[in-house]
Amino acid sequence: MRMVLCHMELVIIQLINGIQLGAIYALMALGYTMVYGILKLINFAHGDLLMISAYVAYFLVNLHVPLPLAFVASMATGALGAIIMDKVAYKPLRSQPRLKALITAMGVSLLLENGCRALPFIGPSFRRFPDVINVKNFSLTENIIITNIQIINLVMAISLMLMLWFIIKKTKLGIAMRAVSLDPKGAKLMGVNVERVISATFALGGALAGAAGVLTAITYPRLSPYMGIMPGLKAFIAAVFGGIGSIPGAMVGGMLMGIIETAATAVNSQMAEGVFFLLLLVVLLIRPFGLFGKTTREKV
Amino acid sequence: MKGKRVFMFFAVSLMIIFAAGATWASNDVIKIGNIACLTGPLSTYGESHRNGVELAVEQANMNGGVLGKQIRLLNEDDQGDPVTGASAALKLIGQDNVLAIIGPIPSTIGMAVSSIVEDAGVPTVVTGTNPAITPDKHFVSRSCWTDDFQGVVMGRFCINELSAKTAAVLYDLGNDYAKSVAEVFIKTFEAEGGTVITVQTHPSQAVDFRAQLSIIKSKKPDVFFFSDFYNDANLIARQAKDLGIEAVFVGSDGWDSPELDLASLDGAYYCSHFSKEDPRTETRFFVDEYKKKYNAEPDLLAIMGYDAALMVIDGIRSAGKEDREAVADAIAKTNGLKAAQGDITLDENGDPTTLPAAILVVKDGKINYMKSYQPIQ
Repeated sequence: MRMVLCHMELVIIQLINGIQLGAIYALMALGYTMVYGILKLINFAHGDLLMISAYVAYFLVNLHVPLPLAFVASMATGALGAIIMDKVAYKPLRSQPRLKALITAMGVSLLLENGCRALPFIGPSFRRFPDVINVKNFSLTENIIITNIQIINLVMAISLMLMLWFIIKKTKLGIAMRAVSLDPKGAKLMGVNVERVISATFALGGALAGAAGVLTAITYPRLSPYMGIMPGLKAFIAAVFGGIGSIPGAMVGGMLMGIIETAATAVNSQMAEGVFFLLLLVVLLIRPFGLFGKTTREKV
Repeated sequence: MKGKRVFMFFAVSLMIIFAAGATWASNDVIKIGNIACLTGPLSTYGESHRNGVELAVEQANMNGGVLGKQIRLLNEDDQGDPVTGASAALKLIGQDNVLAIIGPIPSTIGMAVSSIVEDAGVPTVVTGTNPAITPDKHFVSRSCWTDDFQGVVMGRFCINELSAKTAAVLYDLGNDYAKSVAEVFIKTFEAEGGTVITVQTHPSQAVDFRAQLSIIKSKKPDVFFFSDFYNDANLIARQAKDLGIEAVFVGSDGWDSPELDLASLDGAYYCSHFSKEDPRTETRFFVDEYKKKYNAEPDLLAIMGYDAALMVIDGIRSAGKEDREAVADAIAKTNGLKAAQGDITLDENGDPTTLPAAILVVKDGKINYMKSYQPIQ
């Protein structure tokens, strides 16, 4: 009986670990999926918005700006960064074949990473994010311990996702976004300012990446110009897993990614990455359009 | 047509200038290359290493240089990346035509560079501790003990000094250094009568270790050994502390850095190559001179770099000529060299067999010396 209890406890602990990891993936995956929904573009530079926002938070916190304020500033930076990215790099290619924008996105990503690496105030070396939050442990049982940082992660991620949900379902901007994603030409004919909707979409995605950046920085206090690559890649996979273009798909996909990754590591840490990606392959073989994706036929 | 002639004129002039520069340089000074991770995830290693090497070169130059010439040190940054390290080695060999190379530091880069310098026939002294770097390579030697020694020392220390019965191990699967230390530690710990209850790994560049740490916590080990570099060790220690792992944290020489998270690692033990309190004349001299020049405490990367430079300079001096083959032969015969870590004598692989290991303990935000282990004969 005690053995079973121990195992149950371990499962719950790992589930908490997975959800915490998944919350950041979900925030990032939303940015990928929203931009894809509107422009059919995979913005590979999305992960680097996380990095830039984390550095903004780092500099602000070092200047003794309170964390909530730094959090908002980082989200704003993420949003602004995403808009600039779109205006400078993607907008001139709007009428070009999609592949060009995709390759440009990879170029933007490399530019941001290596650009930050070269900037003297960021630089290539790791930086330590200061401990702005005193870690407090809450014991649920003798063995299940949650830290306040885990709670902050989860609460922030869920409330931001709810806010996004509200914007998309209840506001005029949300209606316009859904219209553009359904049929950009039709929306334009109905008087929707498509360019503004695209900017707003990039801004929303960027703001979420900014939030993910600060959450990453306080949870894993180690900053480097390459810190956005892995979360970006995993969030992109999560978005595809959930069904790219689908917003609930990105949320659920991100959470599931975190949980599956943790579970695979818990079962066998040496094989974890392999097993984890194999599982994704299998899911995508069975459901190529992802968990929540819709099957669409290319119209000729 | 005219433009082409002007271009040719400039091209030829440039070639002459460069050729003249190269001959001037090769006649007047002895060039030694230094490969270190000056930037990137392990930048404190690179900085300390370079400081140590520069100190040794400066001292040699002040005493009249070597073979009547001054030494010029050419620093290359490998950015903590094996591919960049390999191209740095190729540049030093092909373009700068150096007589010998010092570094690189991390074993993963040492593996990549050692085959290149062996093929090119350039004497090289590395400071990585993975035992597989030096064997069967005539031109490659090392200025420190290897993981075969370090793993044994830490395994025995846990059993004998910490009275540990059970251990948990976590290491980076993509790190040649972390893996080799962990494997020797596991073998020793079990051979000395302990039980390793769980061995966990993580991929390189991981930041979340909670899945592995939760398993380790549920096994309740006496000691928790993680042999990662300081950056990973900082994150692991912090998450382990947050999860409430009660085991004693134990690590290896990769922890040694001014950026080590002393708060999360309070009460942890790790292995080093020297103690600052060592009364040996050469060690004292190194520590004092280093403090004087850099106004900072030397760490083990500094002393390993310093000794590597001493080995190269001593090799050139014994060879008596600027010939790579002769210098490599001379370095391989290093016997009783009065270096900062101890008297260095190399074995047939080019590894020092005479250097002791020091156990350090992190206590109240300070790193204190605990005890030394003499080499195993």
